[in-house]
Amino acid sequence: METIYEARGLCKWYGRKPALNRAEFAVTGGKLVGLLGPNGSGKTTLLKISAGLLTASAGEVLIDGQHPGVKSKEITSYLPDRMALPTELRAADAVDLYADFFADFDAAKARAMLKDLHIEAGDRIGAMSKGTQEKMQLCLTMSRAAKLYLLDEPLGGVDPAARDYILQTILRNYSENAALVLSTHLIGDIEKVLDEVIFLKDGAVFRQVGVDALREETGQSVDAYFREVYKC
Amino acid sequence: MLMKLLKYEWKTTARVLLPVGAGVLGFSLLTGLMNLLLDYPKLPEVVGWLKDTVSVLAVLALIFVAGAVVFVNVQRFYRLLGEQGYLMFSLPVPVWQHIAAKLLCACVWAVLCVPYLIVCSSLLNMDFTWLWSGWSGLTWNPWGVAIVLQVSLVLLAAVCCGYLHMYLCCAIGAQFGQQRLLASIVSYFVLGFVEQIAGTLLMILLAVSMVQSNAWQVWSQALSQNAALSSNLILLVLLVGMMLFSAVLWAVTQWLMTRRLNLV
Repeated sequence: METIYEARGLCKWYGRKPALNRAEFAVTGGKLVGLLGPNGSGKTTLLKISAGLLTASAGEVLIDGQHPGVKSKEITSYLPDRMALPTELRAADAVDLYADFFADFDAAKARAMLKDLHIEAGDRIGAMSKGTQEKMQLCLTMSRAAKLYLLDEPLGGVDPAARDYILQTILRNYSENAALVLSTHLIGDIEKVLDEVIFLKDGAVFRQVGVDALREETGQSVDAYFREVYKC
Repeated sequence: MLMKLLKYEWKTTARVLLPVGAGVLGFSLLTGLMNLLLDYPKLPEVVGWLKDTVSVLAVLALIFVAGAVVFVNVQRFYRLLGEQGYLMFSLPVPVWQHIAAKLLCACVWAVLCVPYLIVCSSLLNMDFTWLWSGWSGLTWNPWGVAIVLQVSLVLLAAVCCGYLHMYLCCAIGAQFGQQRLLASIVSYFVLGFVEQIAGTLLMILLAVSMVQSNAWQVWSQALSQNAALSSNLILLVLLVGMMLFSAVLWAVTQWLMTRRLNLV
């Protein structure tokens, strides 16, 4: 499989504080990659730069050989770490919006997923609970047949049952040849489904390794390794 | 993509403005009917007072509608630089189209406001005679038509300038991590002050250079010989100046949204 997503010497400073410090990695298609790191390690900054929501201070990100822009957004499905859907819209309006702007969006799949969540077409997004809003946002993101999925903390702030639902939604709906990168603190929940992990430390890539290889090398789970590496 | 953005802008703003507009239109109609039915010289004082109060409220309602049009459209842009930006900027759409869609939608609402306010004012006074008598005194000539068209374009350019000024202030405010709304409001006044100073200095420079180069005498003669042509030229210069100013405001706003996007 070809490299679909890579970063080369990626730097981002907020004033004098470096959020990313020469981060480098490469992700090939068909891989489910965990972007792991403690708070402030640069995970959200990295994903925002990749999604075209932030400009890097130095270095570059390439998605299918292109810098983040209009073309890369056509093939990248991004889930932010907060609620971004306009709350004045109804569920059907949100589906129509995605269908209008993303050529790879499967509206029928989205409507089926929303029906599973008992979300009616006329339900106003602002009237939904926080958990339902996040699930809805995830369903819309995963209804795209993108080449790269970037999910920023998809499991954060939801109950354990909802986390299982979210994981299952991700696994059932992402395109097999696509790369999926998700950032999370809840490693125990997702470890079993990951192919690779990228550890960020102080804005740089500490390590990029296959999950099985890591377990064989250290004799530990990814969660235990994480706790050891980032011990306070 | 621009047409799709426009469609969503229109739907979202209409969701708020159409009910408000319909409500005020209905209120104007009722007020006009009330004034018509209670048009007696000898009214009890309290009824007369109530009638006048309702009429004042109806006029205030019209001002409120005009304000609501501006507020809703500026708020849409402000929200684009907030949490909604996480979705909108992940769409495969160049930044300039986001600005264009919001500006076009705002200008359409501003243009629609004019006939709307005329109709509401007519309903308040229950006077529609202007529909057939207002045009009879007009004489059509090419210069007059040109002036009317240019004045309309200058007013539209002024609306664009106003909105782009506010968009730039929102973009400047978005550079701050906290107190973004306050930063946007402060930059509105600071930018306005700077623009006024710069505009005044430019006018002084222009006037001094015209006097020194005797251009003023040439201009006065041209004005006395053909006032219509001179007026058209003045309006054209004003229009070009406003378009250039709008272009600068747009360029800076787009640069901030492209190179300095700071969604929180």
